[in-house]
Amino acid sequence: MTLEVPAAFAERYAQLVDDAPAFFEAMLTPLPKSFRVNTLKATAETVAPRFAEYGIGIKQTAWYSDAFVSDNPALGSTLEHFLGAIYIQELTSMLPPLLIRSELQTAATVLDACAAPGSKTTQLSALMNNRGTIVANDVEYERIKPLKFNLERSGTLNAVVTNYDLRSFPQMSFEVALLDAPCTSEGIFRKNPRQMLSWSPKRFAPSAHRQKQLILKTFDLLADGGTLIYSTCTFAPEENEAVIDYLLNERPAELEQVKIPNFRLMPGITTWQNQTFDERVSMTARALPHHNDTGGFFLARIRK
Amino acid sequence: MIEPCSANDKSLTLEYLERRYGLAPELLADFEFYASANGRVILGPKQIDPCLSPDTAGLLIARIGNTVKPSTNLLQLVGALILRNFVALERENAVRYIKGLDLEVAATEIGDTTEGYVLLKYLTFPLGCGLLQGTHIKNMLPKAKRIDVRFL
Ligand SMILES: C[S@@+](CC[C@H](N)C(=O)[O-])C[C@H]1O[C@@H](n2cnc3c(N)ncnc32)[C@H](O)[C@@H]1O
Repeated sequence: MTLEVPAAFAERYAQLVDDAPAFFEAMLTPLPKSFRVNTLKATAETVAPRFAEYGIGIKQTAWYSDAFVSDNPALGSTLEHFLGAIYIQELTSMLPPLLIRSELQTAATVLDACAAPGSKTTQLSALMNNRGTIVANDVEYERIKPLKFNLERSGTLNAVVTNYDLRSFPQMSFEVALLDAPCTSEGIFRKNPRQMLSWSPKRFAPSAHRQKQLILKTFDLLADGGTLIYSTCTFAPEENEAVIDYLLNERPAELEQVKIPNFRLMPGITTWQNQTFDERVSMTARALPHHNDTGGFFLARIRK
Repeated sequence: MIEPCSANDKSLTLEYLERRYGLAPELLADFEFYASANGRVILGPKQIDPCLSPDTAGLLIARIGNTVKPSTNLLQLVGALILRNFVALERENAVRYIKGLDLEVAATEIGDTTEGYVLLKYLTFPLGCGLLQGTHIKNMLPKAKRIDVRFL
């Protein structure tokens, strides 16, 4: 049986994307394998020749010199994976830390509010070159173990792991925060297209409710002048632009343009069904699967 | 849970790393030492806000019992700087080590490395920790890290 995109999903997102047939086709195509070179342990210049020796084809991306795609599923059986010299990570998952690259050079305190299993924490740490302090928090105790394992494997020395429900996180202040929010994960259906079969629009409201609580709390944990990245791996505007619109209504937040040189992004939308969002929400961005052959993602860059 | 590391455990660890592997204490000077259960010594960030109750921090670098046992994660991170008490493995033994198996090595491969915890290397790559006893190397790789490596 060939898998198809559920009709209600197709109808809903045909209104959102620029090229619906290309979007749906990409959604049914397996995600390319990808990894990031962990610069705490290696460099792209030392890793790439090793893969050439192995006969594993890899290709450097045009937008991040440490990011590579590969058509070979054996990345996890390489010495480099064992050594923590590479981190197997979906390409869009690498975008949030990249947006704050320059802030990370000097930041003394960084919050990774929903951190497990640590793909982005390890990348933040590499971009900080192990300086400063990252608080890597997650509410799910079972996810703390893989988080710790990934941090240790990557040689991360500057992280502190905490296990709070973010909504009751102690009041402190951070120069930089990342809220990689729990979401309905429509953007990673490409990893396992069967998940699409249980897709339901009923999931958006409870997820959005939680995201709104989490974004207010993360914003409140930010120092004046600090930068917050909000991200999800889902398409639903209820969990993306609507959450940012809510933040703009509730707090004195400013948005900054999201851009990544050489990576195609679609601007955030300002109307959806019968809702209109604050115009500034167009400074947020969406990564669509058919634009860069990746998962789907949403990004907002917020300044306090 | 982590707590401040005692001055004694900190100096035991630093002295051991310097004496056995030639690792200068200054190498770790930008970080703080913490302690957790069963003699675990952790190297983490200098600043941890006192209002946090951390589950853990940084990297487990050693465990202090009758002697100091360095962690594989530490040896992998600083292995390139280790100048003594390492054993360079042949490819076949490197595969066995990464699988979690004990090893037999030739006396010529051991050279002037002395018995005790050693760094195992393959080419220039620091693989992790083993316990050298005669020509036998006991595998100290944590179970969760063991894989069937096919490309090396
Ligand atoms: C999208 S995942 C994070 C992925 C992670 N940032 C990475 O890159 O590896 C969302 C995480 O949010 C956590 N989470 C959900 N509700 C939370 C809450 N109230 N407080 C803290 N973490 C929460 C989940 O346990 C989950 O691990």
